[in-house]
Amino acid sequence: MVRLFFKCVRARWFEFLAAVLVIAVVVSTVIVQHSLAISAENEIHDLAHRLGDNILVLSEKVELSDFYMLRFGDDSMPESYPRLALSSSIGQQIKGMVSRLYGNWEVQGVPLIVVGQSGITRAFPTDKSSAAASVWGDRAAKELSLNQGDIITIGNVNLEVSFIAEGLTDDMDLGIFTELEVAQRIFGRPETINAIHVSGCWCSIDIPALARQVEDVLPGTRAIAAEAILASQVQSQKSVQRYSKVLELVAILLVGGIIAALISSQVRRQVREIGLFLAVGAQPFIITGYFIVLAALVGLIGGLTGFLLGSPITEHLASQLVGRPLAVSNGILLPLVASATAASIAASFFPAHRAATVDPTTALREI
Amino acid sequence: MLELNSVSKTYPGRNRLPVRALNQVSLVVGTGEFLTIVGPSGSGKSTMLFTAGAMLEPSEGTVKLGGVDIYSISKRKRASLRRRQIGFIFQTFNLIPYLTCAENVALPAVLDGTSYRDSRTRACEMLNRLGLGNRIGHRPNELSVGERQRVALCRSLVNEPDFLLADEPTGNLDDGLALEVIQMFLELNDEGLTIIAVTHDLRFAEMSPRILMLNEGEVRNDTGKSGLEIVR
Repeated sequence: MVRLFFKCVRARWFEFLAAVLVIAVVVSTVIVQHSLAISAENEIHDLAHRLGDNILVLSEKVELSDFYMLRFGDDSMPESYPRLALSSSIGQQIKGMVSRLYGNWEVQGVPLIVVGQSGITRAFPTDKSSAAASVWGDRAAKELSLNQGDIITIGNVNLEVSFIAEGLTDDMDLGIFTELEVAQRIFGRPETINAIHVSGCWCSIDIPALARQVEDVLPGTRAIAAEAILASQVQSQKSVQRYSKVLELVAILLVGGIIAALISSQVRRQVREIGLFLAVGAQPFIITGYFIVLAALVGLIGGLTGFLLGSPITEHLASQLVGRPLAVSNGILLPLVASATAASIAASFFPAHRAATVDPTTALREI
Repeated sequence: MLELNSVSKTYPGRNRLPVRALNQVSLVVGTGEFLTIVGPSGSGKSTMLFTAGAMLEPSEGTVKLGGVDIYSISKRKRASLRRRQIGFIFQTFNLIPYLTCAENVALPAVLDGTSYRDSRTRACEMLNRLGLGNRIGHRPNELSVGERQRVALCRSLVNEPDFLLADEPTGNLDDGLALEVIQMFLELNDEGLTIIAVTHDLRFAEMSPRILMLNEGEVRNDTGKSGLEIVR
């Protein structure tokens, strides 16, 4: 019986293969979407971890998503703003402030992130008067074949590779950390900064209220408390999750539609064979079972193929698209394949049942 | 024994006007009989054959096989009865194109729960017996029309049925092949198989001991060989 089943399948392999591939594409789309949603969730956790109790002050014109994707524009604030904040009424609540000038710079096709902040020269004094001290992320140094002590010119400024830092996170392995004043010279933006990291022990303080006070003291800025960022990110994440659910539902309906169309077309085209099977004494449940097993196999193989296709698509194409590494969780395999198979079985039930009720005399057109 | 008691069959026709294909037909076919059903096109011959073959439920009347009303039992039992007790030969053979001759013949045995290997062995024996031993692995499109008819005959006999029902078994064959098939039917009947065949071929009818003539869904004559003159 099994052998005859596979003979029937082999006779129409091309149609089944086409259905498997279409289902695989649908499933792989779900996988990519799922991985993006998981990645966004992880980003929020990272962000929460990074920001802790800090407040980040940016120019109000800065697009926050660009900032977190390490795409920095020309919007900036006066370098005097930290002093202004410390001398204001909120100064006593602030424990520390770090001013930074972030910017993007490309050297020999390598996209670098230049971070200007005070204290670099003090930590890494240089004996070369013509070059400024800088700390390099290991990937940046490797991409440009630089070693400790080498000198490189960026934006008419000579930088000495004072130290190569390993294990920097958040793409900062492509970063160059130098003195604030040096970064300002590289970008030709004297006396400006584009981020202030404010820290303090704020266990008993209303942080969102403090952030609003910072914005009042420093005009044209936006103070972002981790709490607020997280709240907004969690809200976005929930929207993404809702969208994912809708997409998964659409995918299941699509898989069901593909299978229903495939099995209905097979029943129509095999009506004479079905009639013959019934005429020679096949039990109706064998006919129903044949089409349901067929649908289940197409759904199962489609789901597995979709998983196999979805992994490289996510890891390569989607990763490049969002600019950060993405990986497919193996935990999704079972529910996804099970859903594809279950949807296939459910969708095949009606056409399979119809096949079993074919009138053999009509199907064989003997009368 | 096969009994048809006052069997009528009405089809929904065009414009919803019903067409009565069989009208109060009664018939008894004893074990080991060879009956041919003749009549003009549209006289209800095939309808009668399919009704007797547990494939087409009559609108009225009963059909009994071995004393059992075959349309009062479950579909499952009726399928089982078709598989084990009735062999059917169709006018257009209805062989499955992607199965080999042996697999086509083995199909009813496999459906009856016999293992694929045993079914195939039985099918090969049957094919050898009908001179198709060299065609076992061929597909239907590689066979001549006469060979296809013999494969269809093998398939109908593989489960050793009590009844062989044949719808125009010589309809698509030339004279020589038709004669060959008629000869095979006579041999099978001699071995004790009950045969009911629908035919237009009077040579076929002449060979059978009993002829039933149908016209407009009614039995016009049911005779022995002597009745052939009436048929003509």
